[in-house]
Amino acid sequence: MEILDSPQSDIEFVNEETNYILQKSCVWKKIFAISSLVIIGIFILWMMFLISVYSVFVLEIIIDLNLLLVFIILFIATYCFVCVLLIKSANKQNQYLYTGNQDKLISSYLLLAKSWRTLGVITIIGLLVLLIAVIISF
Amino acid sequence: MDNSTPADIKKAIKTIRNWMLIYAIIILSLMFLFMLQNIAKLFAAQTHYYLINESMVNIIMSFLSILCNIILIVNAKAYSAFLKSGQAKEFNQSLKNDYIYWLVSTLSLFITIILNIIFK
Repeated sequence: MEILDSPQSDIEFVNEETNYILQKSCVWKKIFAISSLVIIGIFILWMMFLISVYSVFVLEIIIDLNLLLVFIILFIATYCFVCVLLIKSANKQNQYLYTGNQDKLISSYLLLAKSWRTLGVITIIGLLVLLIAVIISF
Repeated sequence: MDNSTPADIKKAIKTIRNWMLIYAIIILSLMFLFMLQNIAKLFAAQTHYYLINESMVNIIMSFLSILCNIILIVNAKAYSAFLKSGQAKEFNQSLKNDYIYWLVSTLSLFITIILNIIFK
C-alpha cells in the first residue's frame, strides 16, 4: 500500500503538502514516544536491580523520599500513558495517510489533545509538589 | 472559512494549543532557573572536575530543553494563526513546527542520555 499523493478528505485545509509533512511528523513522534518508553523501562529495571542488590539501603532511601516518591511514580506512569497516546495518534495519522479517511485524522487530533492535556495537568501538579517541597525546606 | 473546518478538529487543536502553551511556559521557566543554578555551580566548582562535568551536562540538558520549549511556543502560535484563518498554509506551518519539535526532542533525549552515561 502506498501513501496517497493527494488528500481524499473534504477538509479544506488539507492539501498535497500536508500529507508529506504529516508523514515526517508521524515518524519522529513515534520514534520519540517509543524511545521514551524504552528508556523508562530500562530505568525501572535498573532501579529493580539496585533494590535487589542493595535491598535495605536503597529501600530506606526510597521510603525517606515520601511525597517526592509518590510524585515520581505518578509522573512516570503519566508519561508512559502520554507516550502510548502519542503512538496511537501517530498510528491514526498513518492510517489517514494510507486510506484518506478523514475520521482517522480527526481522531488522531483528539488523541493528541488528550495527551497534551494529561501532560499539562501532571506538569501543574509537579510545579505544586515542587513549591510544597521548597516551602517545607524553609 | 470557519464552516469548512470540522468542529472536532478545531476544538482539539484549541485544546492542544492551550495545554502546549501552559506546559512550555512552566518547563521553560523551570529550565531557565535550573540553568542559572548550574552556571553558579560551575563557577563555584573551581578544580573539582566531577562537579564541573555534572554542571556542564546539566547546562547542556537545560539548554536543549529550553530550545524544545521555544519551538513549542512557536508551534502554539502557528496553531493560533491556523485557528484564526483556517487556511491550509497555516495548518502546514503548524505541522512543520510539530515535526521540528519531535525531531529536536528525540535528538535532545539521546544527547542527554549519552552525556549522562559518559560524564556522570
